Amino acid sequence: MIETYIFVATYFYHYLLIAILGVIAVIFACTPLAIAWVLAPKKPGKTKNESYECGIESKGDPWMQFKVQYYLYALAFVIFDIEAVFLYPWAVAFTGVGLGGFIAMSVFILILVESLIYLWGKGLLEWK
Amino acid sequence: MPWIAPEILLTALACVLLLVEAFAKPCPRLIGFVTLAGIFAAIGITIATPIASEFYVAPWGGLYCLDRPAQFFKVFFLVTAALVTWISLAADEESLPNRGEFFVFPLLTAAGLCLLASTMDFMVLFVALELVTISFYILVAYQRTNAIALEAGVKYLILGALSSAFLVMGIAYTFGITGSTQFVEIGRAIGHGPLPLGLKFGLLLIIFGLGFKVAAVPFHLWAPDVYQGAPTSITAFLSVGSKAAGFILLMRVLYTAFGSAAAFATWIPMLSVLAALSMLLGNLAAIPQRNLKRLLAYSSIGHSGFMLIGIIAQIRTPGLAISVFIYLITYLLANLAAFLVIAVASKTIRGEQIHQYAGLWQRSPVLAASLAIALVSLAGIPPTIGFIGKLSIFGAAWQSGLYPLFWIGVVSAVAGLYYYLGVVKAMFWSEPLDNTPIPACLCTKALLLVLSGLTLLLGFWPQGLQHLVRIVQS
Repeated sequence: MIETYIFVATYFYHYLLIAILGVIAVIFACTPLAIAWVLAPKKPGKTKNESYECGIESKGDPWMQFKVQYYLYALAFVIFDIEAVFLYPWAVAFTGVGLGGFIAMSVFILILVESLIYLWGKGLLEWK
Repeated sequence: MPWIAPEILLTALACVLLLVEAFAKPCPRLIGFVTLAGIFAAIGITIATPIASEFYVAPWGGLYCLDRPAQFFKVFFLVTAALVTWISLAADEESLPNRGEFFVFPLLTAAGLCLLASTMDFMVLFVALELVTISFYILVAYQRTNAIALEAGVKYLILGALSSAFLVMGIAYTFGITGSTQFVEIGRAIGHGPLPLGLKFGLLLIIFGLGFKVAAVPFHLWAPDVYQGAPTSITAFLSVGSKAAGFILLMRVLYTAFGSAAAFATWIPMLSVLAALSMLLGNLAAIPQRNLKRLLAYSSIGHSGFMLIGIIAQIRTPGLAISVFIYLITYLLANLAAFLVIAVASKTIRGEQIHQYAGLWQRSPVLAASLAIALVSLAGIPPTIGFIGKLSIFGAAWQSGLYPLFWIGVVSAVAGLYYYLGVVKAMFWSEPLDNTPIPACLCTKALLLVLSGLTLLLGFWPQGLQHLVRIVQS
């Protein structure tokens, strides 16, 4: 029982500072807003209610259909993004992994190349 | 590396077939036959490979083993995959988009399942499980123009991702406390001492994650909708392959990694509650179902409950986990026969409502008789193999003194008779909606004859099953 207690106590102690930081951050962000809400005079007007430095006002309904090809491109991009993510630690540990690691990574890259050829075969790379 | 040859073969074949399908666009059925041939080759390799009880792949160490249970489950998964491909070929729905690729994805699923059967490490477990689940996400939502299939796909994707998140969190806790992801090392790190709180929490999360896979109550909510919306052959794959995968993982994780007395005290009560709830809810909630695939979904939830008893019984009396193996064989034969009939019949019937199956006996005696034998076997009535499965599970419960689970199991098995026999009654003693005969090709009839024949033969002659099981145990 006491071990459990100590475990829980030490485990959560590490997070105590983060919790304190979080509380301070919330107070820091909310205080000016609260002060402004209490002190500032409220005289709204048409010009004042326009969006300020947030880009151009949108025209028409933003819930329009996008071409599905955008999403397919994004998916294809993610495949090679992941490749970079996995290649990087492999390159760092290259001298330690030996021939087995080299073969494993070659197979991995070959499978990714295959996926690119597959996408080409399916006509994904043509913009219609 | 002859040990992982089946996995390599299946994955390579899938990669090649995807390219061939993309460029040459051959006849979809041809791809199906090549898939079938590949799976048979993998079965041959698996049976021919000598057993190495503690085999570790050299450069990475301790990730993979090929013992008797692993070999049993590999053959089990590959036979399931072969039969599922056969069902896909027999059903051959013209409405499916990309019919060629539909035959390729089960190869990837089968490769993942074979890898799962041999995993001795949480990292391999996770990668293999994701390979299986992601192929299933694609397959479940395959009829993407159909609203029910889309609903099934979305539900399976979200709940599957959630269960994977639980599993990863559990693995992270376990790794954080024991400092290893290998089952043997985790078991060594736990030793005989009490379980730290963090490890108990990790174990709880891992059981959540695997509970989704075997569709045990209260993690069963995805099953009925997904089973209904998926193409019938994929429903068969889910209900047999995915479920059996959950059980081999439960055995590996719970017996090897969490195999100390203190760990038993943590997970046995949890699994007992899951087993009792699954048996009761699965069998009682199946009674009001009017859709045959939903009914089989609830019935499969109930069957998970029965098999969980076998997992628990092994701890009290070593050797009783064999009842799970027996039960899985009975479940495979009966369930795949039932789904084959549904797949073939729904081409003509255009639906899976039970009232549409009324008078199936007049329309197609072979289909009606096979479905009846399958359902009677699932219910566990004596001259069929299902009775042997139920008998071994209940025997294991009684022998290891799990009396509450035994009685709950008996009550739910009796409740199960009602809805299984309700379908049989509709098929034989109700007037058909229309009298057009339902055609079935010769291959389908032959396969149904084999499945039903085995269901009856092994029911009359259980020594055959015993012999098989003794090979697994040795």
